[in-house]
Amino acid sequence: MSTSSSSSKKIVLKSADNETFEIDEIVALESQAIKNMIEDECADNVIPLGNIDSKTLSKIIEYCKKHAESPKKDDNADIDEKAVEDLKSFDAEFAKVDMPLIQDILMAANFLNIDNLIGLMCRTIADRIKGKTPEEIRKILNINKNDLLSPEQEAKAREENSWAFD
Amino acid sequence: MGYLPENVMYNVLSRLPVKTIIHCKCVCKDWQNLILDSYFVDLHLSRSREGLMIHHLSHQNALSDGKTGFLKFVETEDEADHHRMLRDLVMSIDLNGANLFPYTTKVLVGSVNGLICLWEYGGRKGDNTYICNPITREYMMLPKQNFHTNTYCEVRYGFGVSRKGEYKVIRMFERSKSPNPVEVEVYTLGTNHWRTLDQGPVYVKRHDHVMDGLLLNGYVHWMDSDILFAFDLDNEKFHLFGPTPRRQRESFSFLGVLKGCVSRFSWSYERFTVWMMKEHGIKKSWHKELEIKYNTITRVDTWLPSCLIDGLNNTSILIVYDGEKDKLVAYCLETDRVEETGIYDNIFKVMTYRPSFLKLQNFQSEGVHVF
Repeated sequence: MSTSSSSSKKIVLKSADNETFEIDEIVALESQAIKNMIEDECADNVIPLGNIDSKTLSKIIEYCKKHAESPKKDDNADIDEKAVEDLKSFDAEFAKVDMPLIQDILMAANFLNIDNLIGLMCRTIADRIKGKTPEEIRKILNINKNDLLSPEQEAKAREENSWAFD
Repeated sequence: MGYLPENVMYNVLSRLPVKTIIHCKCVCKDWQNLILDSYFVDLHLSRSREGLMIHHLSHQNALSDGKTGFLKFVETEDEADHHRMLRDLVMSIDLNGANLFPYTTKVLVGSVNGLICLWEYGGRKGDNTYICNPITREYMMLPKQNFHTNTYCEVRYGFGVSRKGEYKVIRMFERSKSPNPVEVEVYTLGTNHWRTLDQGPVYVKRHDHVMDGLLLNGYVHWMDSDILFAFDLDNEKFHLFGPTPRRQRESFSFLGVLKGCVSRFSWSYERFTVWMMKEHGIKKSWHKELEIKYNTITRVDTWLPSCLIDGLNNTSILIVYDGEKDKLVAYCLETDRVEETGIYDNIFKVMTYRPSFLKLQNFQSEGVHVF
């Protein structure tokens, strides 16, 4: 795949802070949203992504590059296990970032419709709040204070499920 | 946070263990609403991993003392890095607890999609059927069956969901003097009455021990001696699947589901064998999946196998009561690894259990209690 990339079509993505990223079309196709735009021929040379900053976008591109280069499961039924393991450890390393960035990546992946990346980020958040108390979860995810339950509502919810709070 | 869209939040929350989900209900109003939504309940169920429900007696003569014991839920490990098969105990319900399921002795007879079925027998008001969701803490007593007794009797239960999505309890009741040796009744959740089927399975012999039905693909399966038969929960017909394979001298066995197939686990004084029906209902598709000769780890003299469950990475876990250690242990059939659980004493029954937030009140509004 690396031999064909030099001659393949390029796509330019522009972040909210006006940074441009030139990438191979095959990398951009990891995003179902961009794929649809290209197929519907409504993608110009430059695709503006007004809600994604450059830091988040470069992470997204890093992810899409790696996944575009890796052999797909449906290409070949017996892709070697090494490639699968390699992608797994890439994903694990990729997810080792702070919570605000995870949320930014997740928002962007949701907008760009990159299924695997949405799954990876959701799993990462789930892993970080697994087994935690409501107070710890609020802190980890910086939950909006305006949306909290009233003390009475919270006491009621705890009372109804007291077994889970022992 | 607060700005993550709903579909993403559903995605995150549905991946959590049940206890954390309940904690999340207290995190903020948005999350509370999401978790109570039926869309979430279905999504969570589709991702929910199978664990174990253990009916655990507190002491040797507990049943004859009218003590019902405890229900204990243990999750299976879902992260390969942890090198464990089971997680710590998630919950323990004291069935003797105040006002919970009044009257007398109960046994666990079935489990599907987070709901469990309990049979109560003995006592003046005995022979009743209960449905309970231990996670939402709801339970209900079903109306009296048409065929019942207040002494101990031979019944076989099956509890499952049809391919159309109807939850049904099926009960085979043995009569000593009757043209119909076995009466079959079906209760569909939400209908409030039992229906007696015209004809029971003619091939069911008078059984010498009670075995609960095994659910797969909308069929409940039982084994009678070596004969496998099943009840189609959609059209309510019995199917004879014929004899299951076994080696000579393998005199103990039970049914389980492994890798999506009905499997028969059997053992002798020499080895364990797992037989698998690769294609559902196809007699020719039975084959020997695994065979393990006893070694220094497996203890034939003190082990009492009780349940099979899928482990991580295509492994199979056998749940065993180890009489020597007086403990429930998990044994991986492929890796020969043994893991002790913290559960001691006589184990009464172990069943696979997939936790869910399904509400009994969605089936019927009356007669549902919360404990």
